[in-house]
Amino acid sequence: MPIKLLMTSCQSASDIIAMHGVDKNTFRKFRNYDVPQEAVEAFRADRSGALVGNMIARRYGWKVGRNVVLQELDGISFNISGVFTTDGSADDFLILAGRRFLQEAVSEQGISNRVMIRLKPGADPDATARAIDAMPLAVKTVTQREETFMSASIDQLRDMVTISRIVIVVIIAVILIAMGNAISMTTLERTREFGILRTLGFRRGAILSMVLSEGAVQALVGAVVGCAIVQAIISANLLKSVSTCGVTITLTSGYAVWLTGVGVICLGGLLGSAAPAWRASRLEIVNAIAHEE
Amino acid sequence: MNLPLQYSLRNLRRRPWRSAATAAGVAIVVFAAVLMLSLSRGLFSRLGVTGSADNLLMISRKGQNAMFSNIDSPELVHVSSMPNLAVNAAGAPLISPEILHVSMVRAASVESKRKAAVSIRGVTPIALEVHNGVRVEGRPPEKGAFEVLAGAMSHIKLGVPASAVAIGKDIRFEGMYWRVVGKFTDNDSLIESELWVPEDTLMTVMRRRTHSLVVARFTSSENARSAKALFGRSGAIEKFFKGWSEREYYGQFTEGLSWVFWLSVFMVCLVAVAGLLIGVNTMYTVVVSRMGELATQRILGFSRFDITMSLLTESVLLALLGGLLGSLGGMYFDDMPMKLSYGAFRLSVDWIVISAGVALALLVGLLGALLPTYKGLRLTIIEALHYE
Amino acid sequence: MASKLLTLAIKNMFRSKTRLIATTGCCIISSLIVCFLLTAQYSLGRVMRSAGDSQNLVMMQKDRY
Repeated sequence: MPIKLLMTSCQSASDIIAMHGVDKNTFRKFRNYDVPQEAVEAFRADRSGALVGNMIARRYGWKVGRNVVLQELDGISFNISGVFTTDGSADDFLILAGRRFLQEAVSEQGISNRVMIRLKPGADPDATARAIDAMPLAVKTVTQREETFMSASIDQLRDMVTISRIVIVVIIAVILIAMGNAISMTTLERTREFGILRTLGFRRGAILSMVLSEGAVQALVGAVVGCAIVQAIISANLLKSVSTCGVTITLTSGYAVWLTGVGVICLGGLLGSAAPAWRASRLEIVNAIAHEE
Repeated sequence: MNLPLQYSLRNLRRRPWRSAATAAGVAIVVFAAVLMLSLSRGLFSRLGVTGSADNLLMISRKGQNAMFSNIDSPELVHVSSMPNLAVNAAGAPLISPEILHVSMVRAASVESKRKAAVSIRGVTPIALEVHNGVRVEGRPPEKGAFEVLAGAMSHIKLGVPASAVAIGKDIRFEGMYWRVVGKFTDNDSLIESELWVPEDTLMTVMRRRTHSLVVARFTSSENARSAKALFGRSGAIEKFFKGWSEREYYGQFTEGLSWVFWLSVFMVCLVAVAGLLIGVNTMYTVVVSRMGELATQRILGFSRFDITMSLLTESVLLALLGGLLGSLGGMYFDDMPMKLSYGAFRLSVDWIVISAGVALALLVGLLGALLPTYKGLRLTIIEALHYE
Repeated sequence: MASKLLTLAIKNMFRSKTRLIATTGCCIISSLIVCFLLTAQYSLGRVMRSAGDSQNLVMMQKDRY
C-alpha cells in the first residue's frame, strides 16, 4: 500500500502533526486499528474524511463529525469520521486520510512517499526486503522491517536514554548512602540496647534481621509511594508526550516498570543497611553494654 | 560570644565515617543536579546563539517551515527591493537563496554502513557573507561540484569520530559521494551540525528547481526589524513570503524543546530534596547525640544563636565539601556530545552550572541543619541535660 | 518470631519520627526519579515492540528521508 506523507517538520516549533494518505480499502490489513465499523464506512464514503488516533484527538479535543482545518499543514481541511486506538504504537498520534485526497491537497498527484508491504505469516522479512530492493524498478529503493525503520527515528532520543540510565545509577548510589548513613546512625545510638537484647537471648541473626527489616520496610514504603505518585501523574495526563522525527511517544507504564522500580529501591535499601546491620549483629555483649556515645 | 570555627571542624572529625558518608551523599546529589543542568544549558545556549538579529529568514507564503517551502527564483527580485539591505564589496545585496533538506547520510571512510539523518543546506557563495558568523577552515565548495563544507558538529549527528569528516574525506548521501573540502564553525550555534553543499548541485541531484528559503542581511538589526514589518502589509513581500528574524526563527525551537528544560528542573528539584533529607538525617543525629554537650554550652553562656551558627557551620562545611566533589565529578561530562533531531550539541558544565551545584550544596547544608537544630535547642537546659 | 522481630523493627522506626520521615522521604524521592525514568524507557520500548511485532516492511526511495 503506497502512503502519502504530510507532516510538520522535525524542526517545527510546536507539536508534530503527521497525516498518512492511505488506501481506504486495505489500510486495516497493516495494523490493528481498534475503530467502529460505522466510522470506517463513514471514512470510505467521505472523500475528505479522516480517521484520527485517540492521542491526537485527545490533545486537540477533536470529536467525531467535526471539520478540522490545520494551519500547520497548509490549511488542509478534513472531516473526522472516527477515532481509533492501536496497541501502543506511535500511530495513536496519526491522522489517516485518503491517499488521493491528500495528494490533491498538496498538488502532488500520483506521488507517494512510502510503500507498506504486508508479509504472509512465516515469510522472512529480511530476505523479502532484499529481494524487493534487487528488483529493477524506476527508482532505487530501500526496504526494511518496520522495526528497523522506527529505530532510525528513535535513534535521536538514544542519547537521552543514556543520560537517564546514568541518572538511575546515580540515584541508586544516593539510596545506598542515605540508607547506610541513616541505619548506621540508628544502630550506633542503640548499641547498648543491642547488648541488652543479646543478654535477653536474642541471637545475632535476630539482630541482623531486625536492622535489615528496618531498612527494607522504609525502602519498600518509599518505593511504593514514589511509584504511586508517578502513576498518578501519568494517569492525570499532566505530562506531554515527547516527539522526535516522525515518532511521538506518550508516557505509559506497566507492571514491569513498577516491579523494577520498587525492586531497585528495595535492593538499594537492603544493601545500604547490610553493613551497619552486620556490625550491629557482631557486637560483643560486654562492649555493647559498656558503650558510651 | 561565638563558638570558634575549630570547634566545628573538630566535630566533623569526631565521626569521620559519618561525615564522609554525608559528604558523599551530597556529592552524588550535586553530581546528578550538575548533569541535568549541563544538559539544559548546553542545548539552550546553542539555541540562543543560532541565527543573527541582522538577518531575516523568509520562506514561501504557502510553506509551513524552512523544510517544506518552495520559492521560485523570479520571486527573489522582491527581496532585493527591500530597504536597507546590506551589500558586499562588489555592491551586490546580501541575499542568500538556500535549500534546506534532511537526508540519510553516512561517512564513507567508516566501516559501519549506519546512516543518520543530517540537515543539508544548499548554498551559493554569498551565503558565507550573509551568515557572517561562519568561519571556514579549508575552502568553500565550488559551484556544480560534489563538495561539502562540513559543520564542526556534523560528525556528532553522524555518530562518527571527527576524523571521519575531516577535509579530504568522502560522505555519501542522495546516492552520491561528496568530498569534504572545508569545515566551518558558527559560534557554537546549531548550524554547526549541518552539511553545506553547492545549491545548484543539490538542485540537480534532488531534481528540484525551487529554493526552500531566502536569508537576507540588513545593515543593522533595527533595519531588519523594520523590514520585518513589511510582512503583514499588502505588497509583494506579504504576497510571496513569510518571514522572521533569523534569531527569532531558531528561538521558536526553544518552545518545542521546553520539555528538556522542565525535565531537568524537575529532576534537579527532586534530587535537591533528596540531598536535603540526607543532611537532615545527619544533623539530627549530631544534635541528638550531643544534647548534653549543647546544654553545657548554654550553661557556659553561649546563646542559642551561637550554638545554631556553630551547627550550621558544621553542616554547611560538610555540604560544601560534598558540593565541590560533586561539581568536579560533573566536569568530567563537560563537552560530552549529545544529539536531538534539531541538531547536535554538547553538555555544558560552565561556571553557571558549577555555581548552581555549589549553591545547591549550600542550601542543603543550611536547610538540612535548621530543623534538627530547632528541635534540639527548643528544650530547656534541664530537659536537654536529661535527654535520652 | 519473625513477626515479633518485624513488630519490634517497626516500633523502633517510629521512635524518631524526624529520622523516619527523612529516610523514607529520601526513598520516596529516589523512587519518583527511578520510576519516572523507567517509565520513559518503557514507553520508548513499547513503541519499538509494537513496530517489531508487525509483519510489515517499509519501502522508501533510496537516500530520501
